Amino acid sequence: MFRQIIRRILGSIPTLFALATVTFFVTRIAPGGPFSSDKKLPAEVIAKMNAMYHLDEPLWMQYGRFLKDVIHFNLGPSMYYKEYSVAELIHQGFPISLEIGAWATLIYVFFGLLFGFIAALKRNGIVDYAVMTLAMGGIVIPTFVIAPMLQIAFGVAFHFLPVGGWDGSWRSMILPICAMALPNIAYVARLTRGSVIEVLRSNYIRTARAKGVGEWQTLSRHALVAAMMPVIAYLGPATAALVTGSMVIETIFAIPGIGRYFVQSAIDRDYTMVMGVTLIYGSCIILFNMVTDLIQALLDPRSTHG
Amino acid sequence: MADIDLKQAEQTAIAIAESDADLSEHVESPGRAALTRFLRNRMAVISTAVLALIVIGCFLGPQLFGYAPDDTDFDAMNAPIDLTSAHLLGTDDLGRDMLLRLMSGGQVSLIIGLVATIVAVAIGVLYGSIAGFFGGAVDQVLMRIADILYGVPYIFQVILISVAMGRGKVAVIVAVMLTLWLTPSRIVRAQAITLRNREFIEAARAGGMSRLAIVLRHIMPNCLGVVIVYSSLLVPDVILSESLLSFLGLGVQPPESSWGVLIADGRAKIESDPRMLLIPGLALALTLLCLNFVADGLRDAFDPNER
Repeated sequence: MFRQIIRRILGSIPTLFALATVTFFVTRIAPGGPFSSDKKLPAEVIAKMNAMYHLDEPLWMQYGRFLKDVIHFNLGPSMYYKEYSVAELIHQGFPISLEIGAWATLIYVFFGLLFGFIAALKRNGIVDYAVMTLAMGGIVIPTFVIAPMLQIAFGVAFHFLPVGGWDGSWRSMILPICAMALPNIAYVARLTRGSVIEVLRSNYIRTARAKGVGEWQTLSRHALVAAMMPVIAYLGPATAALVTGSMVIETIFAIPGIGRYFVQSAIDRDYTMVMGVTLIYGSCIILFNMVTDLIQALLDPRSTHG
Repeated sequence: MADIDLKQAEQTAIAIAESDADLSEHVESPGRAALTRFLRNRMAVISTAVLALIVIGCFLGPQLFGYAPDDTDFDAMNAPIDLTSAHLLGTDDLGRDMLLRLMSGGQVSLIIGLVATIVAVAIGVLYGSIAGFFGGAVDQVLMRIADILYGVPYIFQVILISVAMGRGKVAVIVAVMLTLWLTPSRIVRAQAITLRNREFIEAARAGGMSRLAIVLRHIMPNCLGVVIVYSSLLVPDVILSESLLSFLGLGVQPPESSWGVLIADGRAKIESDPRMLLIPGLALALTLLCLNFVADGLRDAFDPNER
């Protein structure tokens, strides 16, 4: 187990390195820079600003400087929000994104499993069709359509919840969390339904029933864990989906998380900010993939071999 | 002993070859069999028809209008949905016809979906077959590169590339296709490697089929199914990515429109006119729904064992 963890950590280094390198060069190759937009600044000012952020050095020197800074966890100053460093902006935004993401994860795992389980047990019944139709809807209706619809329904029509904004209260969290969880509930419900149906057909469930283990015990002790395996495997990719979701959700609901910063800094060519957020998000996704793999290995020893 | 074994093997091979020849007269070709299976799937067929309607509507529909998608009708601004008027789905706050905008936006979304998918799959097939065919060190290096790129979340690649290329239609296509070739390359490589060692390939070899013929008759058609199925799964993904990027302001830029642009427009006006969000949203959702059913149908048709 320990060796596996070490191996995974070492294996994630080239990926992070590639992520940093690709981000660096792609943003630098791009025509235009952080200071070339909006207002026309005098040439000397631009030259001075470029010198300040070392943008006048040859590319390889910038790259070397960037790698050195990253190793020292120094993400540099933001080139757009000039009073702040990237670390400060991330420090402000990340907890908010994390809070929403964590709640959304809890909710979609719980409801996804619940709906999937019910659908599988009442297979081909009305409940099953209802759950699967809703799941299909959740998959084909993109978040950026569902979220504004939620805003119309709860914010505009009933004035029940705030349409957007963020004050840290639960009322301002409900809609973003729901919008983020809905498509994943759909995926998890479909996955769970499929795997429960398959598990219930397996020999050991038949054995358990034949032994006279009660139906409830068969389901909760034998079927549940096995049926959860694909769901746990889905958690890794789902984190990447949550990251994407956070960009959309934070833009729509005007939440000051790092997803919105990322989109905004990509539009503004805020090099340091794009790289900082990419590295943070990338590390999160890699970390979460690692954790889900380890959980999978703990629950199902077979997955470590082969 | 050895002599008898050889003779037996030879006879078996001939028998197999004969029965092959025998069967080929009664049994449908794999492609035809897949088509038959696909046609039996009611949802898939209906979805194909609906998709065809959407495509025809988007590309031929605008010809029926005497004006361009961004022409404004000052006499009918914010016109409601009225199937008897000149503007079937009404007009937006600038007097632009909603239906016409929907159609021309759909053209962009559909073209991006199709072009990016085809190019991405082509790159993937080439990359994967080179890795699988050469094997050894080439395979190792190519797949290691793919592995590392796999670790870089897709959305970052797309956003970074569209940042690098500036914004617009071409940037979206390049961004999406440069990020989506990884999975098809893996699938094709794996398929080529497993097929190499399958019994029916061995039987074909024993029957005296040349290597080229084996590749053409057995390996390629078998990969083709997987590739078609995977491509059909990719199209909705690509269309969704395009809309997402355009929605975030990183993709297609107004005045050019796509469904993502229209949805972004609509979201800005949800309080005054929810219809501007709902119409393009529904069009996008319907298209994705149909594409999903078609992909399911294709998967079942090409891979009956999976059911």
